[in-house]
Amino acid sequence: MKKLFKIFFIFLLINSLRLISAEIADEYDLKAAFLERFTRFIEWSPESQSDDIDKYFEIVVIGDNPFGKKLDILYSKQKIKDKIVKIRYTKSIDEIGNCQMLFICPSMANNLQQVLNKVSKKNILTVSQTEGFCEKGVHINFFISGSRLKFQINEKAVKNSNLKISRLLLQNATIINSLGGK
Amino acid sequence: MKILNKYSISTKLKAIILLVSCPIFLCISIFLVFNQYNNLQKDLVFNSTANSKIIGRNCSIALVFDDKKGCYEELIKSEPIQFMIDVTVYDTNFNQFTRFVPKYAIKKKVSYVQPIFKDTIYESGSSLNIVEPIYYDSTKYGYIHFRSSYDYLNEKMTNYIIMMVALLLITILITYILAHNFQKIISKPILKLARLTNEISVTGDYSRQLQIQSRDEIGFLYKEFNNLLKVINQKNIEREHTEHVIRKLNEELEEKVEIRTQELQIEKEKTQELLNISDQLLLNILPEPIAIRLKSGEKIIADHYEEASVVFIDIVDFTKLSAKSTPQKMVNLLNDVFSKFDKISAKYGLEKIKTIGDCYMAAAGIPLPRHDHVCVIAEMAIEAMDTMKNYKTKDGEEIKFRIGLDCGPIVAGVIGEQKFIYDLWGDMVNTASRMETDGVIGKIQCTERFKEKLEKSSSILKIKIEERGEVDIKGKGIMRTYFIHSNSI
Repeated sequence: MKKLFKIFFIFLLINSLRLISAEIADEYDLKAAFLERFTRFIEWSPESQSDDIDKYFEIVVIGDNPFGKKLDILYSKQKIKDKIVKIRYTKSIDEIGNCQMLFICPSMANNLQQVLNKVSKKNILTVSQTEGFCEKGVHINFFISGSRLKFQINEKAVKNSNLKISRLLLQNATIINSLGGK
Repeated sequence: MKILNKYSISTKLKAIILLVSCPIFLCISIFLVFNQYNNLQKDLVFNSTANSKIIGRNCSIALVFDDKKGCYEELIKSEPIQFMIDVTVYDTNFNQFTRFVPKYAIKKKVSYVQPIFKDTIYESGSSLNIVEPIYYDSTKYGYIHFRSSYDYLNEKMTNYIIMMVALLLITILITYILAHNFQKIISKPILKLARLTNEISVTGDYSRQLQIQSRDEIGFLYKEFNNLLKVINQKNIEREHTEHVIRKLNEELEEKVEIRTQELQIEKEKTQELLNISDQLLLNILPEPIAIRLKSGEKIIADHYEEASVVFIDIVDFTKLSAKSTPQKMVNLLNDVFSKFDKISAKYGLEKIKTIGDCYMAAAGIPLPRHDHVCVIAEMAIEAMDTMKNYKTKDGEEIKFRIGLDCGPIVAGVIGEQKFIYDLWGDMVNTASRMETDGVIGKIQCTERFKEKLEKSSSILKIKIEERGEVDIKGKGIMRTYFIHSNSI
């Protein structure tokens, strides 16, 4: 009887872990897909673009990569704004370079201000998934509301950058109006 | 329009205004209703299209991010749209992404049919269907199917029609009131003119004038009417003056005529008197029928009679008596004797012809023929002889008479141009005269033919005939003569 109970408990535990991992997998699949969909409603100004701007759309993931290979797999087939997508992973602020999108991982919580200072004068869209990042100056931040993946936008931070964001995106986002670390 | 002829100008004007304005108002109302319906329909299409575009655009993010809940939340925002039945969002594969039905539409339980994606706008039942692709930045993300109810439009139209009908009725009422008031502008002055005309026709007072209150055609009419009245009045005054003068002249003339008439009447009476005298004289001289014929212009009258009788009465020895007495006494005697004979002649209807000295001549059967001329002349002769029997003059001298009678054809008439006398011609006249001259004193002698005629008449019973025998009559020879006298002797 006790054996049966242990087997049942282990079965439940395994299934629960599976479900959690599947949910996590779905969440990052969505986030990966959302990164491309954000770009549909954002325009980058031609200034301060790298020479490769006509060829590639570069996404840099800074910090501990939570996507695994999802970004590579997804964007190996999908273009963003008709451009081939380059995914670059780094943990060094100095290696951010002239990308179009910067995903700031939760592990960069302690260095967030430095990251933001680094990209503040550049034409880079910053995205994060950590609570409080948006208030500090990140442009877009994912959050879970109920079972839905939602995002918040720091409108003032976007306005201060050289990016143009669609009102539609703003209408569907939770708006944060702080200027962050400035 | 002839139907209107029997109505007053007021009614005609009101009818014309209403007949003209009402169809116009009705046409305008119908046009406005149709226009309103078209506008509302266009508005419905436009609003539905606009709403579907806006909603679709707002849903584009949800489609991009595959956010059905977000999309539904976006659709919920469209609930205040009154005419909306439902709104459905489809993805690019025509799979229903999400659908929203407002609470009031749920109650109506309108069935949902998947749209025709080819037509952007189409009608289905009582609903308008708008199918719009959802684009963002030239990329199609899906379709929005927006359904609008015509009930709302119909309700609005019903209210509009009620309002238009009420407005039309009010307009017609106002038009009628205005027509009633406006027609007075024309009818009132005309009626005023008619009243004055009537008053003038009754009173004959042409000095009346209309007060001109406007400078329009009515004012011109009044002015001309006043001028006409002035002219008529002036003519009337002139006519009255002329009439007065004529009347005065007439009175004077009548007075003169009256005087003249009186004078003429007197003259006429005098003339009539003279005429009467003349006629009387003429009748005394001539028989009435002969006098009438002469007056009518007949110059010579000589009528032949087949049968007539003549009497001669003569005073015996008148010459001797004349020698014994004065002429005046003789004349008085003759007048007395002949007057008696005149009366007797008149009694028997004899025509006195004339007196020749002391001889009295009369005839019967002239100028009007009569069949009993023998009888009446015989009776006259007998009565004359009887009357004058024992007649004495004033001097006491006894007067004797001889009477001669004859009958036969004679000619009677008037000849000559002056001093007319009705006279007789013929042998019978001479014979009658001879019967007197060759007669016996106090006797009435007649010829045989007279006797034969007398015997055949009815008077024979009253007259006795006595044969005298054959007598030598001067100028005639031997004749058988007879005496006649009253049967009572």
